[in-house]
Amino acid sequence: MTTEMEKIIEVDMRGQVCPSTLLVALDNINRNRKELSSGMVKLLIKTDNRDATTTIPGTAENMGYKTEVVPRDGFYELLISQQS
Amino acid sequence: MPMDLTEFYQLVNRAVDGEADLLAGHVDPEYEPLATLIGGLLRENLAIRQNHQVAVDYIRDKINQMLRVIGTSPLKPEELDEKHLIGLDPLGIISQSFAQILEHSNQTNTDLRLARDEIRAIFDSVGGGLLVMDNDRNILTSNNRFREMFTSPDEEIVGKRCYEIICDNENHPREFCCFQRMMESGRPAAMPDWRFGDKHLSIVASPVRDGRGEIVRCVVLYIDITELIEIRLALDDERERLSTTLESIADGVISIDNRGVITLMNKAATEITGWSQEEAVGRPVCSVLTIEDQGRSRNRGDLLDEIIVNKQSKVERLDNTILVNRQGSRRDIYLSAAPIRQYDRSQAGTIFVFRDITREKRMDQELAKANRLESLGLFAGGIAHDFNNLLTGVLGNISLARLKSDPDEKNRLLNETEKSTFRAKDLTQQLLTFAKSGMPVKRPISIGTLIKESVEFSLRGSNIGCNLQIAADLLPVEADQGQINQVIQNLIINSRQAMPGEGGAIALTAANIEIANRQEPLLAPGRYVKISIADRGAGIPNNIIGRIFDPFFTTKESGTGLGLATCYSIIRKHHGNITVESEAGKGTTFHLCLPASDEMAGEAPQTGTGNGSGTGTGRILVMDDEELVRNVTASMLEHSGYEVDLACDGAGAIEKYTEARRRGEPFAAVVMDLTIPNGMGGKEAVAALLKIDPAARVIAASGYSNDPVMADYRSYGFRQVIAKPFRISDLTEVVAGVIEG
Repeated sequence: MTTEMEKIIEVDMRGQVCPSTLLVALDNINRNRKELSSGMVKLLIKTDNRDATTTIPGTAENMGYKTEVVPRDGFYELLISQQS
Repeated sequence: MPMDLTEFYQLVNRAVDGEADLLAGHVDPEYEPLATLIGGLLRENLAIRQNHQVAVDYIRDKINQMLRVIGTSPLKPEELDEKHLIGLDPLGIISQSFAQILEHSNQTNTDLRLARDEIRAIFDSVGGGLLVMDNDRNILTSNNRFREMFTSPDEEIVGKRCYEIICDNENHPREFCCFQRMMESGRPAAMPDWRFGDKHLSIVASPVRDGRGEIVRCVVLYIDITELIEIRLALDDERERLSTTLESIADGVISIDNRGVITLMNKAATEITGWSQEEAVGRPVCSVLTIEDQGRSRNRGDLLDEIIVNKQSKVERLDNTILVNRQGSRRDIYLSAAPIRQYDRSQAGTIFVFRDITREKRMDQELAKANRLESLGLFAGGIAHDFNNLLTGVLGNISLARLKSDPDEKNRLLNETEKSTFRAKDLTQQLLTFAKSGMPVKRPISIGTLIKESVEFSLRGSNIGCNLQIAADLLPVEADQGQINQVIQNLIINSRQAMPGEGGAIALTAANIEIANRQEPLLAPGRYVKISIADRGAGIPNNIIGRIFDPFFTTKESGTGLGLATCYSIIRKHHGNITVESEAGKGTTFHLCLPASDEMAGEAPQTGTGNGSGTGTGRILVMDDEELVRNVTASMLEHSGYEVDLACDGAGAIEKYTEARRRGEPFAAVVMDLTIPNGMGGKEAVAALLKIDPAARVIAASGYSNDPVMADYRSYGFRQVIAKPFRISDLTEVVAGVIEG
């Protein structure tokens, strides 16, 4: 559930393919690590690369984050947040 | 021809473009040192460029290796050239990500270790034995409780098969094996009661699956339920014992839950109510136990409701209850109800116990009837005996008088006759105090004087004295003089009889007392006169002291058992109380309390002894159904100078009274009998006469001296009363008093 304190950082990677999508996503996770871990920030990644819907959540989960994949019209939204 | 500088530059440029060797041996000696230097630099540059490519390839290779670990495709050179590859810093990104993965992995490991320790603690502390096996019955681990239950302390069981430790083929056939059934069904399998030696065990085998869903482990839980089984068996025994007891007792037993629904009913209850156990269980108790109040014939289901709804905390008993059974017949029952308590003292329902007492009750009634008849026989015999004695006196003296010619002798014999008659009057008076409606004819009397006269009379001729202590300010009491006299005489005679032989003295005290509220249960608060009569006799034994006031109870050979009973009856009708205290060998004391009167005591009417003088004038109407009484009353009045007319009932009296008035010869007074069988008595006749003549002087005469009309004659319209039997002097005194107004 989103509270008033939470902030969503949006990264639009539509047009990019693997593995650069993964590297960009990981780069964003690394840079916002503290905020993500404390639950203050969620990362919303928009991608139209189907492979990224498995590689990004898989790696993020190994790093201890919770991920959700929501199909949108022509792209996917990947929401990465603190593990509850 | 010597080389110019331009040619040299062209040569250097070609060398830079890849022909480094051109500079060696192709330049003028003048440029030779410079060409050597440049050639060396070019070779060094080439070596550096080759090293850089190796490094880039190495980096790209490692990046791809790490990407493969992560699970994604390798970087394509056309996708990311060397320049961007270095700029994006994938190694930095991936290594930072790996750091996070490692950190997360460490945390996960810590959590897993904790979870494993927790599971181990649970494993060892669980009340049952736990065994973990692979899917081929090989034991992998077990907890302490399992080893306590099935192995010796040092026995090593890991690696053994479960049946080597627990089962033997003879007692534990394979079809009951939980492991077997679990493997076959793929679901947990249980065995509720499995015997191991003298123990009872409950077993559950549960599968553990791997990632592919294959059963790889089996966890078996063994719980020792021996104690539980023993308790259950003991409970079954107890239930059987209770059930047999319940079925064999003669009392009906019905238990209900908190809603009033029957949960249990015994055989006796089915016989009394007419409902079978099968039909009754599950029904509301009110429909099976239909009870009514004795004598009222109305349903008292409300009594049951009260017990159920109010959850009576105590045992309730209902006597005198009627049960209407299913066939509609009524049975006398004794019913008790008690709450059924649970272990926490909360109420789980109610138990009704009832007994059919119809037969006992009928027998009691028969017995009471027989007792009454016996008592009546005793009583009638006593009366007949006493009356015959008195009549002997009357008849004997009259027959003697007839024979005598001497007037003095005749007079003496008639006096004796009169004495016998008065004793007969006393006897009937005593009997009348037992009559149901008996009310004393009360007026304020000076009790002190009465006591003195009574005591003197009762002790006449005996060697017993009496110490009288009568308070000087003793209050008058509202009482029937004759009755109180009788009480005092009875008590004094009793005291006298208690002290036979050498004489002695009775102590009598009389004083005013004040009774406070609730001080004496039978007495209303107020002022009383208390009379205590104490003898120094043998005392009354403890075992009979409670019965001495019962009618017909006597310890004397010649007693009727009416003396103290009469005293009690009289005193209670005076709103007083009589009590006794007695000590063996020291004597007995009777205490009487009589309500004090606010009115001054009048003079007690003197019992006339005269013969009645012939001074009366006027016409008197005498009404009585008994000819004997009519005639003797007329004779007495005529002897006293009155003119008399007679009527035999109320209607005749009214007719004669009206006729006399019409003729102008009215009656000066009317003497009327109160009770006329099958005719109009004095009570109705006086009302009719007063309507005709409000000034009519009517005197009530009755043999029932305790008739309520006699006690309260004025409110019925009578001027005066006279109790039968009466002497001529009594009658003429009353008649003269009424005529004179």
